[in-house]
Amino acid sequence: MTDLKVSEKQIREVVSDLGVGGEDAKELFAAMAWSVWCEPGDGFAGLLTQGLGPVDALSCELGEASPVEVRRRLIDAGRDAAWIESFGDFESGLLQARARWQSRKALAPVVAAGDAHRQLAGSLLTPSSPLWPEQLADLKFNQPLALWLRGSVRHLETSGVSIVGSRNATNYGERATNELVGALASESLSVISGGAYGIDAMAHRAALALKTPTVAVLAGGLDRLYPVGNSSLLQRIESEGLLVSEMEPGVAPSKWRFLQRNRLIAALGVATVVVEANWRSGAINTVTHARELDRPVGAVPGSIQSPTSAGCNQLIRSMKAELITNGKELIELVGLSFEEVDQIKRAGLGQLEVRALDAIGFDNPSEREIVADSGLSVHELTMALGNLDLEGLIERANGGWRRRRSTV
Amino acid sequence: MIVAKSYGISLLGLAGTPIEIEAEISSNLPNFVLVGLPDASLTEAKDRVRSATNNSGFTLPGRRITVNLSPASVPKHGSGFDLAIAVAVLTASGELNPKSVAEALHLGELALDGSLRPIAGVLPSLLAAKRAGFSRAIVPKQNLAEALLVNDMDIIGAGSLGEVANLHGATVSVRTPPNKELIKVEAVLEDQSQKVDISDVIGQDFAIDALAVAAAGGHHLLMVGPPGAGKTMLAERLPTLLPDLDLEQALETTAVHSIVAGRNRNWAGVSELMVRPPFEAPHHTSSVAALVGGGMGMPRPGLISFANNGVLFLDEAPEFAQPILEALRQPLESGEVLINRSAGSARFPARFQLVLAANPCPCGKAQSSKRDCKCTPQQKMRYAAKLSGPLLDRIDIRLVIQPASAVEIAIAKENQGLGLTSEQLRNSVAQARCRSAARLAGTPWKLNSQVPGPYLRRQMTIDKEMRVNLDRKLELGELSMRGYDRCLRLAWTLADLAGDAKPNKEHIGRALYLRGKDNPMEVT
Repeated sequence: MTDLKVSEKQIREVVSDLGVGGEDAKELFAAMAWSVWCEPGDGFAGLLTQGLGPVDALSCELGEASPVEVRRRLIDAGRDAAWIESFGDFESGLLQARARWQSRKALAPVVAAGDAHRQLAGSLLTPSSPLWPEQLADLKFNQPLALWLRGSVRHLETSGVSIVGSRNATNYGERATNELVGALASESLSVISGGAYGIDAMAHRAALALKTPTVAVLAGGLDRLYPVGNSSLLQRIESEGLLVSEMEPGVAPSKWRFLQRNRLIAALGVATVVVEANWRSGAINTVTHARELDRPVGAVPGSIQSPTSAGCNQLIRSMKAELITNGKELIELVGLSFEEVDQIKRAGLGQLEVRALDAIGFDNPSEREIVADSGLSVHELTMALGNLDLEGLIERANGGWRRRRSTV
Repeated sequence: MIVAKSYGISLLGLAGTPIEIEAEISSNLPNFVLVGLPDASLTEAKDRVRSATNNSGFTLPGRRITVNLSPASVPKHGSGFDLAIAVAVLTASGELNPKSVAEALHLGELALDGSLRPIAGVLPSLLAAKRAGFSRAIVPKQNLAEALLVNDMDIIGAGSLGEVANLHGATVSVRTPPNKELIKVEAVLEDQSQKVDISDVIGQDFAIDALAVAAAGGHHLLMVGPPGAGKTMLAERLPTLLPDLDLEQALETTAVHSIVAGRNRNWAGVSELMVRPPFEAPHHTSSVAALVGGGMGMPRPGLISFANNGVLFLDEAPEFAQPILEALRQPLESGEVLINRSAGSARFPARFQLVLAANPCPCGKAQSSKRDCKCTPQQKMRYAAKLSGPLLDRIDIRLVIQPASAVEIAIAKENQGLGLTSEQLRNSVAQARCRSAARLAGTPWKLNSQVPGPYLRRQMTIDKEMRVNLDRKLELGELSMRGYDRCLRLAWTLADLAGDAKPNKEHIGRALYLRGKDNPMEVT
């Protein structure tokens, strides 16, 4: 095992209570250190940690291994030359990166960040965790080195849609947001946004009201709930949803970090929709990231005279975004297959409902036939049918029941 | 010169007003004058009274006889005052003891030979008389059984005017009137309720289960299914699942039946307390007045009042005229109906359980994979729209019924005897009703179906964990507030039937099933 120049006892102390479960202390510590030392979107840090794993990459850095030595280790880890040269000449790239990291490369800020995060009852999610959102791998080397979380990590488990838009939203924008969140909630999809004023806040509020999972991605450390005017909403998201940041506590949100935060919002969602956006808005930046990641993008049109819709209208006109006028169109944009929606909904069903659903199949049986097939009693079956009907999974047809396909 | 007094009762709806009958004989040209707002049949009483007294062994004086019905402003109708008028006139001519006559209430129609004929409305008349302070009443013999339903009153049945006169001090020979054979009401009632049983229904377990829930909570019910599915058979058996009426309900229902002659194939009145819930199944060509009540001049109760505390079954519901179906909405809400006519306004009780049956489309073959329906979508839509949203809103249970196939019937017949009987279900329904009545003690309601939404949501709380799915759908707008309330009401009834203190997830799931679609006839 690689020597980290820090005692194992010390490592365990630094990371205690910070994992989401099942991680190795060293892995957690290494990911934490990389996250503290590097700015978000540092591609070279991504290349090292993904090539060697955070623990080995960290020990290379602490031991000041020569660039040649690091390249040898990468080849040993199965990486080919083209991969290693992703950022041009590897050796000079590494030296430049080391110059960047030099100023923060110490144990103290890592320990301080860990302590502060523990104070907030937060947790840390690393790329090696089974709970790590797979879709972030689309960011390649720009994948976050770790995610700092406050709230329940399970909100990252469901697929979600990113809703972004203007901070000075109009009534129209808020109503449109409500409708879109309603559609997402009925398909049990989560709502991802940036916790800012306007459309962001409305999207989170609607999701909380409809009890569908919601994730707010913040630009700065999670010790300061920014913007201050939204702090009560953000606190609610912490207790009923999830706050996420790439930055450790104590880091101020800066313009650069906002732009990097937008790439994370775009990557977390299976699709991105812009409800209202000015001609020059952060939301347009999120759209750019989403398009780079091949995520479907939608935009809600607005009046040609409304400055808060100019960005949306332009996105539609230049065919960078699909026209979205209602919740159903958003679900179409998300493009979940029937089986996927079925799987999502099935996850929440009880055993009796699953048995009834399997007995119904696609051949429109009568209730008596379902009883015979499933072996359920009349009371059990009527209860299961009632619940499945409520969930929109089945419908009455021709005097019997059948699976519903119209959800997509 | 004496002014003699006797008493009768004028009925308007179920409300009775005591009427004082004054008779005076004065020295003028011989005449018989009847004043005090009598209607046509009451005016004819003069001639019946004159013949009947003559044929009972009295001779009326050849002078002017004036009879006044007071209060003069109350409209009076019918032949029920004959006896009271006759005894007043006989008292005025000095034949009878005035004190004895004035102490008793007299009801009955006179035949020309002096015998007494039964009248309608004896029960509500006597209930009103009792409230007005009368302790003694004389009624026609054939009405005696009905009259004896009223407690704490001295009630005498008489066969003729002579018998009544002898009670008041006269001594005339009484001829026994020819024995009139009466149809026994008991026999008729037994025919209806005793011979059918829910175990006659084969292969409809889902519907029977729903019927028991409807009975326990008093929920209105809609059944949609092709002809031959057993809708009528099921509806006719709903009353067999209902427990006996309590005394108050029984008197109220019997009184409604009493005021209309010819109900229950009995040619006047009723002869016993109706303890079983009534079942009324009007044909779809019935008029609004026949169903809701009305008539020319005097308001009469309609079938919805005869079904009071029982079941009103509308077979082929979409075939009923639209105004009839809409006219049901207000009584469904208030449990009574107010009918205004020129002669006055009457309030009748109409707390019935509504059962609607409908075909899925005009030809009846829709919604079945095995038969082909030839109705156009427009025809189907028009047919479904006959049952309006506001009416369907009041119906908690909406069932889709499929006919059992020959094989299913054969299998069910093998197992016959295992199915539940009406008596077994009636017992569990009675227990469930006890639980809901205990829970609702101190409120104006007895059954879950009567509880309004706000009380249901605020006072009868269900654990949040149990209704989390329901709440979510409500917030998403996929479930209306009314639909939500219906689910809660049904869930409470299901809990009552199961003997649980509060609804659990199973009850809520089953409630969702029973609630059915907003309009089960809609084109799918």
